[in-house]
Amino acid sequence: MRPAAPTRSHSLRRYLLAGIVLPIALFVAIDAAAGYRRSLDAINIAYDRSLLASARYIGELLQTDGDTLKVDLPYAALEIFDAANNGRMYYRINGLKGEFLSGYQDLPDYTRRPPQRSEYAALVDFYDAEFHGDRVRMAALYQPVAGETLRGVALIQVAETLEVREQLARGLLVETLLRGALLVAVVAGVAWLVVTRALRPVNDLRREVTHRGERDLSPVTTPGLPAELQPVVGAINDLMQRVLRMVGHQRQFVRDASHQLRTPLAVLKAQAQNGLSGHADAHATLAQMHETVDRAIRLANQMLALAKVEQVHGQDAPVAVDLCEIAREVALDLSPLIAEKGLDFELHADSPVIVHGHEWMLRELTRNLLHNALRETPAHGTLSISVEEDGSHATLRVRDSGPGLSESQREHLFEPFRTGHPTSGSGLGLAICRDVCDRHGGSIELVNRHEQGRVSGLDAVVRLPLAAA
Amino acid sequence: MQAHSSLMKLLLVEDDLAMAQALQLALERRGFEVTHCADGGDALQRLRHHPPDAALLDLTLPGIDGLQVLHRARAENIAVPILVLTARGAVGDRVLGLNAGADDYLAKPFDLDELEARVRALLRRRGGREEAPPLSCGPLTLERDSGAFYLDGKPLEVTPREQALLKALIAKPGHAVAKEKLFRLVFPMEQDIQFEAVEVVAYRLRKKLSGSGVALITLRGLGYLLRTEPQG
Repeated sequence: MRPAAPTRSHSLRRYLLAGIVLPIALFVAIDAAAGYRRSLDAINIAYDRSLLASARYIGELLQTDGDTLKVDLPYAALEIFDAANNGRMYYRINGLKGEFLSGYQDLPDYTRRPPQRSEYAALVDFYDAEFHGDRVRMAALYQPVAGETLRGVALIQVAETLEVREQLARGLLVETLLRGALLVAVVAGVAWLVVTRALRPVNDLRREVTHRGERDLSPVTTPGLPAELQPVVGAINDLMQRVLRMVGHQRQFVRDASHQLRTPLAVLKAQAQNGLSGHADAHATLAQMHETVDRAIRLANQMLALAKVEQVHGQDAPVAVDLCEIAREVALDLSPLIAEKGLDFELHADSPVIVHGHEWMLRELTRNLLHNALRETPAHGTLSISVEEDGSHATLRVRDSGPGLSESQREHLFEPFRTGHPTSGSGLGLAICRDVCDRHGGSIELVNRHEQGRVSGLDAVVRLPLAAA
Repeated sequence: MQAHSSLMKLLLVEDDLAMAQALQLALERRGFEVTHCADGGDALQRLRHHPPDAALLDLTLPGIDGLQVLHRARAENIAVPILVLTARGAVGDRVLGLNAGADDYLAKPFDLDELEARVRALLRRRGGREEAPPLSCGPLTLERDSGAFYLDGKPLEVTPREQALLKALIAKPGHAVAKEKLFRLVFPMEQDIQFEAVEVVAYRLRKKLSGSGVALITLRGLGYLLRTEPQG
């Protein structure tokens, strides 16, 4: 199985495997440890009993002989215990006065407090000790002795090395661990299989998306996708749709643009042919051609501007821009056109109105709006520009005294090349304006102004968020 | 255009032949002596051995491109003023060109009058031999040396403030000049004057000019401009 993606920050498979296998392994380990403790306890009890049996057996052998206590321990007796296991046994018998009587004298004397009671029907105490460098389990039994003249309690200590018990317990532990390991291995294997199967649709989906051609923007249709992946596919298909729409727009734009560029060229050619043939006055022809060329230049410039507005994406950072300054500069720039038409012009832009944005875009926006207004306003009409603060927004308002907009014009107003002015406008101005407004988080609105029931002009109103003070 | 005893020499570096011919014709008509070359290598040779008074440089050239020519010329301390012409027109190109040592920048397509104005400005800035032509707007002319105004050849009586205002406006006939700028020119050093004082000066001037074929136009809130008017 190849890795699912070139950059794989975190593997779902590893995550799932770890999530399933690790807790189980941990549980098995804890269970084994507890089991080991339990079996060790059980072994201790069993062996303690046999240790007690040994002590008692020895106790039975105690005999009183007048004033003395005697023990006659057949070695064979101890061999029974010895033979049963690999461990060794030691014993020591103390007389009634605590004196050493028999056995291993160097076996440490019982110094703990005599047991008051025990779970066995005898006064016996079990404890761990050390003898000859070995760890031993010790049983200390107080054996009552009653003779004719002698009466008292003898102490019988029996010790057994721990090897046997430990061997036994270790064997049990190994067995438990082996079983646990097997369980974990089985679980891991099953989990791996299941996870792999469950992740197969993800790989299928990846394969379908990566192997498709760059022009293929059709919806993703990997069959047999689980419900969990449907939203992902939905999102991918949604993105595809948006890209498709954008590509469509751009194709449309290129088609329209080349058509629009051919028009002035065709006009130019016709005008030039007229001039050359001598049917038209040469100077008049040249004047017409000059106008046609100006139109083509405007169109090309606006197409560039539109492309630039669309291109700028985090390239040059927005800065604080004074809209009043922009309005003033654009008005100065276009002042010859204003004067030529003899317009009654007014600019309201006195105190700075600061927005956050791209200066050249805002200039382009203002220039386009003023251009439109200049075109629409009849000679000697009124035209005004105002820039104001309005709450949290800056408002740029260009008011012309032209014919306003009809309903049919409104429909495709902001779409490229849908101008109402086939000879004078490129049809890109408002598309640029809207793009610029979008880029600045603002809005643009074109409103007919009415006076005495008739349209007295058009207000182009741009609202942009003010820069934070 | 007045004739010069020795014409200003321009080097035109442009690979599009039609463009070059049109520009050469136009510039020669406007009183320049134009040499044309079509590639960057030739241009560098010319700049080195026959330095013109100014050069017009297209950026897209075969062989060594315009920016390279600019870089090398400046690296060799060739101080000829260079005006860059380009169809690329993006702000980035403009900055690139000016950083590379261009003195000015003009995006294609451009107006021939604009080109001439830029070239003359370049030559003036370099302290060249260029003489500024007298300024005029319709019947109104300004004699640069004396600062005197003539209307249809007859001296026009103006106060110093009116003169300052008119001087600013006649430098750019048909173009508005911002009222803030006019205020600074008409009332230099004075602080207690109201902004509206310019209006008073303009009002008096407008009356003096009325019916003369040149009019002083007010663009309210923006500024003033001079413009010729059909008489009558």
